[in-house]
Amino acid sequence: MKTIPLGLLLVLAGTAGAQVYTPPSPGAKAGTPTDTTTTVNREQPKTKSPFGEEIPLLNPGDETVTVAGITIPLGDNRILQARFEKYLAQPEESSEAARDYRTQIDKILAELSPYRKGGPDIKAAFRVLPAAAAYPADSRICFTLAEAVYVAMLAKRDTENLRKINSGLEEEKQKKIKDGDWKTRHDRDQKIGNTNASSQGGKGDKNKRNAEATTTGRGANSLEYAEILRRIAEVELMKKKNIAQVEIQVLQSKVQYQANMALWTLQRRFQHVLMASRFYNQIWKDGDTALHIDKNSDVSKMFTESLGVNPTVATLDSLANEAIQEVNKAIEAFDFLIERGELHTASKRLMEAYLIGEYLAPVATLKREKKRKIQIYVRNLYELYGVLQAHDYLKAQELVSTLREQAKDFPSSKADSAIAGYTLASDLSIEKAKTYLIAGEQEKASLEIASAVEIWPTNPKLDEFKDLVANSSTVVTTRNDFDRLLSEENYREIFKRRFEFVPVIKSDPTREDAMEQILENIKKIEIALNKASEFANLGNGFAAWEQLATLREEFPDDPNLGRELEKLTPRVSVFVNALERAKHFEDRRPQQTGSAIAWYLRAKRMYPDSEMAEEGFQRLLDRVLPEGDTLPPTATANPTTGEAGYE
Amino acid sequence: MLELKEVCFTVQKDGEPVHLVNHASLAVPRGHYMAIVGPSGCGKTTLLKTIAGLNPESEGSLWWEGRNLAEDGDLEPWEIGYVPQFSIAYEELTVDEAVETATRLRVKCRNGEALDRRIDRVLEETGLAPIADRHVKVLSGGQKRRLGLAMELVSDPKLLLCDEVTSGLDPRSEREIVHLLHDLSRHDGRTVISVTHSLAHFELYDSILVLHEGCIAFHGPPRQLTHYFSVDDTEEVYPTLAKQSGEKWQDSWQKHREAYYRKLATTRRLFIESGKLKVPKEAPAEPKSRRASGSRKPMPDDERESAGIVEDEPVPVRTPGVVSQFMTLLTRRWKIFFRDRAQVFLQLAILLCFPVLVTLFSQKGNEPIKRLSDLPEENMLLELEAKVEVRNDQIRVGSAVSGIIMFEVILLALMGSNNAAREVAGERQIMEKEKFGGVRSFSYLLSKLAFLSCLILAQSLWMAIFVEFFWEFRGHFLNHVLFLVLINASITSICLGISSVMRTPEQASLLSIYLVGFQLPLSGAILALPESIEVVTRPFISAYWAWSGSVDALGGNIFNAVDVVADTSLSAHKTCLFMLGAHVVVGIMAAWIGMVRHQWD
Amino acid sequence: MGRRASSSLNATTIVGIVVVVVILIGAGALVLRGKKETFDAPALPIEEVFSNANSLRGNEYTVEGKVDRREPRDSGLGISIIVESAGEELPLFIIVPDDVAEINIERDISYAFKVRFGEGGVPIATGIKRL
Repeated sequence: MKTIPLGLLLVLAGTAGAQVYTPPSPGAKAGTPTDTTTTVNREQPKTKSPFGEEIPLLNPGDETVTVAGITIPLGDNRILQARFEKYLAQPEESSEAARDYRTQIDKILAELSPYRKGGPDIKAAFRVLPAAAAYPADSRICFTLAEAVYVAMLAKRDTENLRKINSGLEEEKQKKIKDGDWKTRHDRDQKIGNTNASSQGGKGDKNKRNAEATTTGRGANSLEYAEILRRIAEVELMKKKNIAQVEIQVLQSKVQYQANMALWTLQRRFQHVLMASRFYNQIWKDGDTALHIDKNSDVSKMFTESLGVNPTVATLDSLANEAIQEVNKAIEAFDFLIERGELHTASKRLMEAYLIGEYLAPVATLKREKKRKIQIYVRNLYELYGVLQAHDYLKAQELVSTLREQAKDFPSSKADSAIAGYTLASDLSIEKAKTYLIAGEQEKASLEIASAVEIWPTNPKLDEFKDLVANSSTVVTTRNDFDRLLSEENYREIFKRRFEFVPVIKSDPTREDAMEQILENIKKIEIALNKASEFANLGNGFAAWEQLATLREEFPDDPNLGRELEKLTPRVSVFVNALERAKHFEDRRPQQTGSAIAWYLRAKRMYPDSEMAEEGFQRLLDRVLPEGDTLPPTATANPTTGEAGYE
Repeated sequence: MLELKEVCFTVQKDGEPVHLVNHASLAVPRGHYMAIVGPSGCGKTTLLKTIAGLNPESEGSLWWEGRNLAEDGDLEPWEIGYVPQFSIAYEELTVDEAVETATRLRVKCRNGEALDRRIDRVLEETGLAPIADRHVKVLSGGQKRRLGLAMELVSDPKLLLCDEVTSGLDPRSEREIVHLLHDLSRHDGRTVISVTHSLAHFELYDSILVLHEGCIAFHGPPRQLTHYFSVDDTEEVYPTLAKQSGEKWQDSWQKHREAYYRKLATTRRLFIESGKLKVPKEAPAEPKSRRASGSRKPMPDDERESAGIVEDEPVPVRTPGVVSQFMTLLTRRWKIFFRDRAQVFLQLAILLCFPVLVTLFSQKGNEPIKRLSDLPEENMLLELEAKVEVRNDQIRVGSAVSGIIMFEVILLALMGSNNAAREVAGERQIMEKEKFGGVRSFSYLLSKLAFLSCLILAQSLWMAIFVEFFWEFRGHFLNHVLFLVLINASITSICLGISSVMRTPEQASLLSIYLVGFQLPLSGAILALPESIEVVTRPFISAYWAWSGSVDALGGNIFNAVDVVADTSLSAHKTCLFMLGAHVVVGIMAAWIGMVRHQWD
Repeated sequence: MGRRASSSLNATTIVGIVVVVVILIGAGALVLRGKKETFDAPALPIEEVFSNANSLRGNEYTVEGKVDRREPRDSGLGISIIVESAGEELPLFIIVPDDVAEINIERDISYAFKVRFGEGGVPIATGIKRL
């Protein structure tokens, strides 16, 4: 079934090939944070990584692995990762025990192999099972298998076999005792055991519990000793039970046997599955029937959901074979890639191999140096992943470069562009935030900052921004100063400090307007003062005075203006006096229009270019000769009636 | 009867009184033809004029018809006729017209028939009837003398004084005249006294009066002349006279006078009885009455009849009224004017050409003048420039306008002077004669004024209108016209005055020309006079007033322009009017005075 | 009484002439004097205008001056004239109603004005003569 490895690969590759580069937020382009009005959502979906799904090499969301179309749950992604890392860190199985174990397994398989000369030898195989089961990594599956076989054998009333089994058990028990005794004296194995939750403890097998070894090994021995004792007792009990339950459990044993097989398939104990199926074939000659597993059970569902039909033992058998082959191939590929320095792909292969054939020899006996490289690489990769998850793009960049060095085929471009995108986005957000801050739009600034932080929390520019925020207090102060001076109408001061004020009132239209006005007006005043001094220098005191006096009406409080005006007035006192008298007469009640006009004209004679005099004259002229065809009634000058005209 | 009693006419010569007529006493009855003869300068004409009243007697008295002429009223114009030496009739009139005019002026006729009758009679008497239609221009000397005579006869005067009417005539004409005079004296009791050089035909005379150095040397029948002077020929009388002084002769004559007068009376009676001399019965002497004015009412017809006057008494003559004389004079003046081709032509030429002259210069006067803006420019320089521009315009146009006006004024003054300079002076003799014949000076003046007014109006109005066409008077046009009329009137009247006052037309012309000539420079319109002179001369320069008045009538802008240009001060409208009016009045007054004053020679 | 010759210029004529002359002179004097006198109002105390124009209300004065500026309006003409007073040239504003402004008032030309002060102390011309 070629589809299986393909499917496996595909699945294991996850959706790695499908998305080259996912932009950070749906719909928003990475690296273009110009549009500040839209809600900035730089939230990275936690489920996806910008790196694609290549790192876990599986679909982390589902936490399954699909093997040959059958989705096998793997448990927690993180646990898987940790296990893989642990695996990578582990030395290879090189202990004798491991070797032995492998040998035993092989032997079993060989004994059971259909190509064996003389046909499969159950007994021989069976005999090895307990030994194999003793190996911790086996997780006593061999025992369970042995049990199942035994039970099956028993059930089949094969006394010979039963006897063999029992004797086998007995032998083993003896060996165990010896071993136990020896171990209590010498063994210092430290094995980190993990309780295999799924191994529910088959009945009647020697489940060794690997206790956590402590310091000198004696403690462990003592426990193991106790354990062995216990086992011995158990065996005895079992023997009795077996006999009792032979018949009843013929079917049950079959069922159980099948269940176990299924279970082991799920557990990826493919060698065991293989052994089991071979045993099965020897015990029962119905290899093609479907597995009798509860249809409602999860196991059954798993199979049914994936394949749609209940698998048979043979299916399982071939599945296991496939799996083993896959692993072999994967390891081969891995070796090849590692030599070439393509760690990334190698790690992928290795992970595939591990995930499928964790318990298989190629995987287990992989050289540590090789694993080491991968370990480092994967560690970095995971770190990168983590860092990206944590949005630490600075670190990410470092890691990317490290990884690039480590693995020739590391897909850095994607990483780079992703990082670049995110960093840029964050930077731009910061800039925007700065702008907002300066403009005094605190909320918008904070929004931008929030999004910047979201995108890249460790953005060094945030420090700058912090400074800026810190400085914004200065901004506020300056602005307050501006407002205060404005309310005091101390425009000169504002003008003096205008370079201070301009930046802080930027994009505040009211204040900017005010500033503009002030600048303009001060400019006006300055120009007038200049002109006036020019005039004064030319000897035309009148023009100078008028320049300033006109402006004075507009700006009565400007000190410079007032000062200059005062300086000029004595020089043109006659003229000023004339104007003043004219104004005085004009403003009097009752009005002395005639006198006012006379004085204005007189002023104009002194200084013909006088605009003030001219304006005054025109003003009064409009009054005495209004536009329209008739003179005002007073103009007919009837003195006796004293008509009211002006007041 | 005419009587002179010790009449003297004395003049001052080098402080010494000289008797031109020295104690002349004579008597001339009615219907008598007397000749006054004597060497040149003996006072014949003087005596005649004294008789006529043209020379006032210094001593003695003259009596006519028992009337002391000095006290009881001078001879009425129609009582006396004085025929001067040279005919003074308008050349342009016909004989008939001359006589008719004379008649109309002297004799008030009831109707046209009476007028015609009188004219015809006179023409008959003087033998001018056949040539009644001839213009005086073409008459011979003798005919002219007869015309002169005829014009005196229109009023049927009882005393006819003739001053050398025969001198210069050919013998035939002389004979005719003498015969005529003789004939005239035969009828109607006419006393004809004729001053004459020639003693030809002296037998026709009733008496001959010989004067020498203002004294009467002889007054008696012609035949006795040679006897008295103990000469053979009348030609020798004068040399004989020269041998003694006039006074001596007069003393001699005083002794013989009576005798000769008796002879005269005898001869007279014979003539009357023989019917050769027809003398109407003398009217009873009018009671002596002192009268200031001359005109004595004639006797009404019925009284005359009852007085037994049988002869064909002429209807008493009345001098026509002022209006009638005025009309006659005016009519005659127009007639003469239009018959004088040269004059008409001249007038037309002037009338037409002068305005054209003015329009030649009117182009500049039509140009606009810049005005100053309402406000003074703020820039002094610009203001100055503007003012200069305005000033330039003002000068240009102001000078033009002022010049045009002045030109009009001067030309009209010229016309005026041309109108009147010779008006009176040129016909002085005629006027004097006519005045003597009863024509009132007032009528004469009025006729002159009327005639000249027509000219003045025509000229001034035409000038004004014609020029207006080309150059619109930029102001009150009517005022301007008024002043143009007034300048013409003023100069005309002044020249009329001059003409009246001056003795000769040449003098009058000359003075008139000077008058006009000085108008322009002294007007101040061209150059201002120094104030001291201006004060003195200005009142007399009509041109100034007319010009100033016209300028005053200009519209504001132009007025200012002219004001700017003219250094001379301008006078107000009213003043100008007044002055010109005064000139006119003064002129008229002068004319009046001149006309009233006698200028017999 | 005498002869014609002596009666040329009799007393009547002389008297008549004298009468005419007298009339002329009299009329002349009347006319000429009338010309000299412009208006029959007293001269304007221009300093008063500058100190208290309202006090001159209702009174008529004459003032002569050169026109300095014109301000024509629909309701009338306003002019400013320069008046000489005590050696100083002072300006004076006068309103010239349309019915009085018969003669053209031009700038830079001198005129004589008869003014009456109206309300507010503004002089209004009631008569104008060219100078």
